[in-house]
Parts: sequence; structure tokens; C-alpha cells
Amino acid sequence: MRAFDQVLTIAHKELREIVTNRGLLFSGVFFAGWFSLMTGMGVTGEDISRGAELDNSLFYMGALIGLFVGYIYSGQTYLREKQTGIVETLLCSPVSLRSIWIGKALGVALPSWLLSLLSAALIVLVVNYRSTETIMPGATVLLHMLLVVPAFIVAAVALMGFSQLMLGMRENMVVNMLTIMVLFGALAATRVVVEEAQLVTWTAVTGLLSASLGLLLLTSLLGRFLSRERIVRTIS
Amino acid sequence: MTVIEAIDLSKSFGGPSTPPVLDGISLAIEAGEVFGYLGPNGAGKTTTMRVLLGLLRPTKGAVRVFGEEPGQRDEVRARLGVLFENSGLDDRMTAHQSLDYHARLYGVRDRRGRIDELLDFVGLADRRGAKIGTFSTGMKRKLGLARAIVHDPEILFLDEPSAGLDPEAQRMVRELLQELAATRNITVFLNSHHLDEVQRLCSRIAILHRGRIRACDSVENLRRGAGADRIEVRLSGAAQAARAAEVLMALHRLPHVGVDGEWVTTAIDGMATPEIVATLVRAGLDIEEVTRPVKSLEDVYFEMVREEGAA
Repeated sequence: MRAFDQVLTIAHKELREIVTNRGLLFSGVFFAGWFSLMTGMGVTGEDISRGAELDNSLFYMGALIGLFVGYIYSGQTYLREKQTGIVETLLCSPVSLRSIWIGKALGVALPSWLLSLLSAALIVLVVNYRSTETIMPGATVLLHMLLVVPAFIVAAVALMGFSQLMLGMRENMVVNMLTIMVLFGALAATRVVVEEAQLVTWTAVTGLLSASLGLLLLTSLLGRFLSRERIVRTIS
Repeated sequence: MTVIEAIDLSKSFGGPSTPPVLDGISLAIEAGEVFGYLGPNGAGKTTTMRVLLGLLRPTKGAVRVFGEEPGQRDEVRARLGVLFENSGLDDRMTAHQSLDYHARLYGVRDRRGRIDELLDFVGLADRRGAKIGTFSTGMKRKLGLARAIVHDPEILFLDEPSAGLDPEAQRMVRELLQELAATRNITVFLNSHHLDEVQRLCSRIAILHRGRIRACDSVENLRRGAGADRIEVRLSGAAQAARAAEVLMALHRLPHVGVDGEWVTTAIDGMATPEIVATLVRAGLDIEEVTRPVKSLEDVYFEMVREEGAA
């Protein structure tokens, strides 16, 4: 119970810092808004095929925007505390390493997921604004947004947090550059992906959910390699 | 009761060819003691503290805090408070939020009352709602101190608490620490290279240089010990002092004799002080005063650091 309270305390602190930091919040909102607007504008097929395109966009962009925002926010949460040495004080507290790590991941994942939901809503609005008929996302996509995307974001943020805590500052710079290249590459590939018909199936959603849970399991196993000594020795 | 113990502690960060950062450190700190850990930058003070806090594992030897290996159990960490040189505060939080956050993590009951009491104690009650980013270094250090004791720890680890502060802020932090040590039965492990601060606050100190402890004793004993092999004698005039120096040098057993006005200083080299005084009296000299010189902690410190450097 105590560990759970500590996880919530850390998550609450991170969440509050993201929400009250205008610059950070704005950068997340800006990217999420920009990418969803571009995606919504890009859904140009006939009305009959727009439904499939919309589903594809939400399926793909929902996870990707959440991941992108999570990437921006996790840098401010894990890496900044490491750079400033704040994490060292936290490591001396009676909080397990796992609780610190999970608390921060939850604090980052929640606003990332909320922005991902807002992006999805914006995509739906833009597509409907440009359409003569009302087009709504399918049940599979709704389930995807409500269940798969948060699991995927939590797993991805925890993995990014793990790498930021585990690696030294120089290695983190390289990983950050690679991550941002992969993310932009994935975002640039949006058009190709969303135009594929029938991308969103129950199989695809279940597959991504399994992949997210697998990623969570992998992250949890990786946690065994994380130690206070490792974090302290890579602070500077 | 010994609350902190290091037994032949060594810590290396590289391979076998890399010299250890800490080399054979042995310490025993009693409950309620204010222990100063003195040494120049790079001597290994912060590394020692990190090992004692369980943030780093010893390469060799053992460390015990409350009889247990530190860093293994949350219950042990809950009894420790720590203030690193960077204060460990998040600039984006307010003073109250920061204390509340740590109080929650440590499971402090009556958080509100405790936070009010601590903000009052460090003189930041009127800045409770201000962002830490707007604070001066001195204010951050004071808030860091409040944060470090929010859960009423039994041992407080302080790493250079007055580093980077102006003299006024240094004095304020020192007074807070003095009050803390006097009013609460708390064991303090103070890392510092501020000799004055250590001398004023600590009951016992260890001098660390290049990863090894050069001396560990009370400030008084260290100062006396450093001058234990010499005495100073004041005679009734400069001529008498010059004559006394001749008498002492004639003893051959006392080769290091110096004269400064009416004072004569001599190394006693195993002779008893009364024997020296008796020799001077027998020579018909008028002795006004005999003292054993007590060196300042600064002298002791620099002598040890220099000796080690020369070695």
C-alpha cells in the first residue's frame, strides 16, 4: 500500500510539473495538434473509403502522437532530474527504484495519452468538417485508443525512462537523436500507411495490445539491470 | 551506540590499474555525534557519503548504518536525511510543494504542521508559495536543509552545505546547523572543506586526503596533538630569551630551538616539560610563562595534506 502511495505521489508530482510548465505543455499540444491537423487534412479519399482511412489514421497516429509527446515529456522528467542531480536525493528516500521509475512513467504517460485522445478527436473533427457525411471511428479503433494506446505509451515511456536512467549523458544524446529520427520517419510514413485499406482489424488491435504488454514485460525485466549505483555513476 | 561504521572501506571506479578513490577507510560514528569529514576537493568525501548512503557499493570492506548494509532496506533509508551540494530541489516546485512531496514519500504524518514548523525554522515561511527557481543559492540550501529533516531523521548527511554561499548565507546555514545539532538528538555527518565550519560544528573530525584518512580525533586533540612535541617559554626579556636558547641548545638533546623576542620555542623530543623548566631555572633565568602551543585546525589540516603530498 505504501509503495502504491509513493508511486502515485511521484506520478502526481510529474503530472503537475508537466501541466504547470507552460512551455512543456505547449510543445506537446503544438506537436499533437499539428500532426493531427495534417493527418485530418490528408484523409482525402471518397466518402466511402474515408471511414477506413480515418480508422487507419487514428490507429496509427493515436499511438505515434502519444509516443512522441511521451518522448518530449520523459526527457523533462527522467533526464532533467538526472542532469540536475535531483534524482540522487530521490534515490536516498525510502522509495524503491521500481516505484520511482513507474511513478515517473505514469506521470508522463497520462498527459501523453490525453493528448493522444485529443489528437484523435481533432482528426475526427477535421475529417468530418471536410466531408459531406458524418464519419465516426469504428469500435475497434475506439478500443484501440482506450486500451491499447495507453498500454503502449506506458511501456514506451518506461523504456525511454529506463534508457535515460541507465545510460550516461553522452549515450543519452545519441539515443535521443536516434529516437527523434525514428519518430519523424514514422510520422512521415503516415500517408503510405493510412491509405492502405482495412488496416484496423481486431487482429491488428490484439496484436498491438500483445506487443505493448510484451514491451511492458520486457521493460519490467530490464528493470533488474537498473541500480542506484548505475544511476549515480552516470549522473555526470 | 555506533550508528555509522566503515571497516577497511575501499572504492574503485576503474580496473585494477586505476588507483582507488577510497582506500582502507575505517570509521565509527556514535549516535548524537556531529562528525566532520574534512578534505580537499577530489579527496573522496562525496564518494564516502554515497557509499554510506547505499548509493554506491564498496569495492572492498564493509559499511554498516544502524548495523545494516545501507541501501538494502527502505526502513533504513527512512531514518536518514541527506543534503547534497545541489540541494536536490526541483526549481519548478514551490517551497511548500517540495516539502510536501518529500513528506509524502517518507510517510510523514501531520504534514501541514511539520512543513509550517520547518519553513519557520529556516526562515522561509513567507516564501512558502514561491517557486524554488526564484530563490537564491542560500535560500535553496536552507530549504534543502528543511527538506532533509522533514521526516525527522536520526542521521543527517550533509555534503558541503555552505559551498558556493556568500559569507552571510554561510553564517545563516551554520547557525541553522548549530541549532539543529543542539536542539535535536541527531547524528550529523558533515562533508566539508570549510575548516571554520567544521571547527565550530563538529565534535570529532576525520581528515581525508587522496582517499585515505590521515587523522581522526576530536578537534581539541588534533590541535593539541599537533603541538604536543613543542613548548614555548616566555622569559623576562629578549636577552634572557637568547641566553635560554643557548642553555637549551647546549643540552644537545633539544636541537630545534627558536627565539622570537622574549619567547623561546623548543621541540621537547621526549623530555618532560618540568625537566626543561628546571634546567632554565638552574641557569638563573626568570621564567614568566610556559605554554604548549595549540595549533589552529587550519595548521593541522595543511600540515597533514602537505605531508601526504610530499610523501
